[in-house]
Amino acid sequence: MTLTGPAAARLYDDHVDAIYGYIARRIGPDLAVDVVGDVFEQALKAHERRPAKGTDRGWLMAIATALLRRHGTTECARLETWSTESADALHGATDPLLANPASGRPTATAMAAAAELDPVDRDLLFLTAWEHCSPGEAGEATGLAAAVVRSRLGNIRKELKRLVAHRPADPELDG
Amino acid sequence: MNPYQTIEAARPSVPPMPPIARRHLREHLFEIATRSQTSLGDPNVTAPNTARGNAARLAALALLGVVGVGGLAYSASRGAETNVAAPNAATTVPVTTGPPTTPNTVLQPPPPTIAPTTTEVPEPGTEATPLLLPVGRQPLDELTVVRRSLGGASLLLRAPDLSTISIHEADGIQPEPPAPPGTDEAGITIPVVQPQVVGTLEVIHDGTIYDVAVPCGTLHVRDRDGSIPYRPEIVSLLSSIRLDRGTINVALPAGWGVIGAGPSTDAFTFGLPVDIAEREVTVSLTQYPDGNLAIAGVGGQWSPITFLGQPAWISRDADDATEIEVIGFVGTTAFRIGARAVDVADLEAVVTGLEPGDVDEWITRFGELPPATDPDIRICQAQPEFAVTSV
Repeated sequence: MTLTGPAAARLYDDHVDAIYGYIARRIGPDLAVDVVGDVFEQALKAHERRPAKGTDRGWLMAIATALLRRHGTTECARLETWSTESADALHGATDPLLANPASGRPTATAMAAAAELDPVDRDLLFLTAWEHCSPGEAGEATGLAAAVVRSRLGNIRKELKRLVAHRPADPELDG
Repeated sequence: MNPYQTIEAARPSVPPMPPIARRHLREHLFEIATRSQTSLGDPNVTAPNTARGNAARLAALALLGVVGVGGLAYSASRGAETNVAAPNAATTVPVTTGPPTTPNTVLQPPPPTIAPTTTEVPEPGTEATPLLLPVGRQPLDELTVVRRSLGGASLLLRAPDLSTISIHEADGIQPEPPAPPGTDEAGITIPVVQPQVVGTLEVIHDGTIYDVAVPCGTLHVRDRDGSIPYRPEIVSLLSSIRLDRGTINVALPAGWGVIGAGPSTDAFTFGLPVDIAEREVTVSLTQYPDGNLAIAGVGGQWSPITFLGQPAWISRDADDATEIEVIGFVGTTAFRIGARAVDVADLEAVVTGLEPGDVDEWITRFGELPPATDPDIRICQAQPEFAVTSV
């Protein structure tokens, strides 16, 4: 039975901005609206199968994270764009999210390293670093236990350092 | 700063979802829920104006076409005097509404288009369903809700020269200190109209709006656009107003008529794009549950017509004769509907195509209403509404 009425409206109104922000940050605003629609459609249809534990936000994040896997190529391309475009060019980029004041060599290199992470690790990275999810919420969104998330986050930090250290210098960004 | 912290610091700031996309998604989800409840199946939820959305719309149109052909076939067959079951109808309509499948040589009346049921069909303009809403998913060009003005009331009058003049009062808002008598910006001397019985005429705007400071509130008199200030009708009207312990008594002179009167009510507006004569026209509809024609008719010059068989009033734009507006009632809900390059029949067709709904349904489809009222800043007790008599 599909969730309807005020409960459905409340679920949408309370969380659409957060879900849209999460998705737009990862794959850009152009695709985000469609994916948000898919997230809430699945949420309304599957609300009876929702785990008893957890929050609405975590559950919606789980659906969004699963749907974002279909856009892994797009996400990695955006992260690579961060690394290949100069900061000046990024400020004039078509995607307004890429025109970030924090753009520059360290950020670009870190983003490129993120693109090389395992998809689940990349989910955990952005759920915690950008969406400020607790290990429990990030675990809810990825199907992992909170303890496993904490452990993997430690490994992610090490892996990012390793990837950054091994990336070749970009002469254009280095000036 | 390690790479994790660098990425954390580079968190993109995402502007909110565009309101129109947010609303369309909401409507799509509402439609899914509705279809689910009625077992019509779920449409593909996509955002408007996207490649995927367009593909889905094309598919939906194709499906509608198939259903439409089936429906036409059924429609054509059901009126025929025949003992043969309609070939396509059985697959497209419920069994309870289908034609008889047993041989029948007696002329039968056409079956009802709606399955016989004990469920009451919602009536528009009632306490249960005071609003008319678009059917299903229809992108809207405009969507606003204006809550009632605290203690406000309106009166819409027709002067002997058939011009329309409206009066609005608001309770007890602290008036600005009265300006000293003098001249306005245009150099016109501002007379004080019977201050001992009406109030102080403070200012006029463009010769058509007269603000009157009364002891416990404000009073605005709005004349026809482009009128000469202090034309005889206005002076006659102002002279007919008396205050009696807060009641605004209007003793209408001979030849005046009342189009509507009543308190301020919530106003629900949407702009509905419709195809009329192969043109897309946006029809604006404002609804006032338990409202009145005075609040619906602000700013128009109204003449009586018949709309959907009921008495109503029409106003034509002075600068664009093709732009018309109509005010009237559907049940207890006052409405104002208008568009450019349409005629009254077009507007009637639009209203007929809407479905009854309530405020909860509006909220479910379009979002929460704005706060109920402004903070109560009245400085004295609520002022009674207009009391109108004819001389």
